[in-house]
Amino acid sequence: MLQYTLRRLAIAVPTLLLITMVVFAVVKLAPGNPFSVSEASSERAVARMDRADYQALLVRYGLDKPWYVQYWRWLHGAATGSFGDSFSERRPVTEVFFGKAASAPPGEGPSVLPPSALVRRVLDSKVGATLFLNCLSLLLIVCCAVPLGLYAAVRKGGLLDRVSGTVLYGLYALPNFWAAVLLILLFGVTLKALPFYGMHADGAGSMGVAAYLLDALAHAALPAICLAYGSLAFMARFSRGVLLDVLHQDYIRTARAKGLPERIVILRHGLRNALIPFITLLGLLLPELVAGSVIIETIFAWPGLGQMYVKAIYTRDYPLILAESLLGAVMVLAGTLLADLGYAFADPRIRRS
Amino acid sequence: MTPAKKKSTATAQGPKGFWREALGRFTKGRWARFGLLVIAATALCAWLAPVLANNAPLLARYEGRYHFTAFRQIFPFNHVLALDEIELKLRQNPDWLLEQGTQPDPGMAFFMLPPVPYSPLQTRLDDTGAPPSFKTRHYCGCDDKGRDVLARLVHGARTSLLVGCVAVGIAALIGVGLGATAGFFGGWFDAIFVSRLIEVFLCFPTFFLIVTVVALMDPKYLNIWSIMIVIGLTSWTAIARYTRAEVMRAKEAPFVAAARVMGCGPLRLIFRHTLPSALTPVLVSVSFGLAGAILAEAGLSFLGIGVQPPEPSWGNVLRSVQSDWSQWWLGVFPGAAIFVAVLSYNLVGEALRDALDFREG
Repeated sequence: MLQYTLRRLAIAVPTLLLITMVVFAVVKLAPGNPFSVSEASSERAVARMDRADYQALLVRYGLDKPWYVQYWRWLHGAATGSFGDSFSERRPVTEVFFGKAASAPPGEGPSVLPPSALVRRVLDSKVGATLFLNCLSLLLIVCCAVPLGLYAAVRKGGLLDRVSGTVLYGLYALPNFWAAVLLILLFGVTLKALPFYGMHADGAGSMGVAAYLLDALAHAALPAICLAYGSLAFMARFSRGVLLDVLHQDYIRTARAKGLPERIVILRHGLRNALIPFITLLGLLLPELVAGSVIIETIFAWPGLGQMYVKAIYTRDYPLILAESLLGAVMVLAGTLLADLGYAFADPRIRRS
Repeated sequence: MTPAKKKSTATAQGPKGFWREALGRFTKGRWARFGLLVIAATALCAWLAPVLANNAPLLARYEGRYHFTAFRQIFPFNHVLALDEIELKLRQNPDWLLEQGTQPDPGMAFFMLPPVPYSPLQTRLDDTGAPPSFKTRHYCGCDDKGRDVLARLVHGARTSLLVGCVAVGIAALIGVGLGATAGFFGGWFDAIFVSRLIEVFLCFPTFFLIVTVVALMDPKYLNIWSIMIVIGLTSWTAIARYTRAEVMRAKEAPFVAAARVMGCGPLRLIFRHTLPSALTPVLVSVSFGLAGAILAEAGLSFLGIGVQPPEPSWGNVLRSVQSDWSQWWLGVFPGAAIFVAVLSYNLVGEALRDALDFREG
């Protein structure tokens, strides 16, 4: 098991390297740099800036060096845990991602925060905001997909099975940005039931922790639904199929033959076995969600990684772009690895072999 | 049963052949037929867009001559033809025919407008933000510049299908080429180059990559052609994977060994003997790829980094709802067009997969 994990980790390293190279190449091949981009055309912005100042800026951020030197510098920094300073935010990338606490100087001693302040700090960081949203949709997916799939499989061919089959298929093809628009039109504009802009209401800073969290939850409701429903539809169909397979197995017939009540047969003998491939897929889902959040976070102005990524691209903020794509790739790799390990963990048949 | 009778039934049914049989299974499904119908309708709609939504007449008698102005425009490269008199008039005043009721032109004997009497680029300040109505003949309302939404959707079908087809064409070329080479030759080219490359692309969600590339491009070059190329260049991995696997399997078959013994070169072996068996998975992923490409184009245009207005596209019409949420028709109709198109390509892909009996992985 340990050997397997190590081997998987070893394969991941060259892949990660290649990914950084590809992203670096894409970013470098693109015209313009952070200092030539402005609302007007790029040439004019440079013309307005003093030629000498422009050169000085390039030198200060190391952009005058050839690309391989830049790449090597970035790689060296990344290996030692420093991803450079964001050009547009003028602070370290790690601080942008994780909030101030992450890069506080160690000299201050262990900063013990009260839990309420900790909640705020976590949610205010980009990673925290995105994780909050994604965990919420993951929860939504698991809580809806498994019971739906279970019910549809048990009552196969029944009314709910047929209706949910069609509806779920439609949901799977529904573009999430259109769903976002429809939900905003319905719940945000017509019914005025839910907020659809940003993460906090005005004056969230003076709220108590409970009210603060509730406010964030209300703001997260629509984007979380938009992120979740596609994967939810897929997962429900998937778990229905797996459960149907499982229910045809010999051990289910044995369980029935020895007189167990149907509930026990389904939940203990059926569902538990059906959940194993479910775990694998769940691990592959998180990166999908993070990618989906690029559009969704932009629509709902959710202050997370996805929205920041779009902003970083527009401002040619190289360190942010590189760090974020690296983070995305690490998440994909970690997701697949965790899925495989979880699979082995949940299924003793695999563990033994 | 007599032997003669047996024989006659056998010839009546006959051996059907793989494709005939697959076609039979494919058209049996209700949903597949629905999907195929919608695809055909969208394609027709895209081709006939100038006849369905235009400010030029289908038929008009102007100054003693008949004009089929709208029909002229469905032919490709019609720009090289000289403009006819009606087009010249419309260029000066796009609303010329709509104003015939109030200020009739003496030269106009009669004219017949298309079902949607507006062109997709025609901005009418009076109609800015007009809601859907049969009276004004803005069946799906107007956008914030006073352009008719339905006209933009009909012409947007052209953009979407063109982007989809060209992007998937590029993806299929790269995917089949790389996949077949890697699968056939194996060795370092496969292990180091193609498999790693596929893995890198898998680690990077496609839409993420497309957004990055497109947003970093010079806005000067941001048009439908560059978007097609970017989508095509980033979405070939599925096709390459299936082709590679199929070719790898097929090249071990005895008939390939026989062909090799007979002295066939690698090119002939690939194209003539191994690739045809990889055709089915490619066909299925092309169908899903079309859905993906249409979705990607719509998503990009929705973010404002895809097809740029005034050029019509489903995504950029949908985008305009974000500036004023009270104009619900800007959010509902274009999204429905995207949804139905994507859904029908998915349905067809799924039916194809079942009909050709091909399983993923």
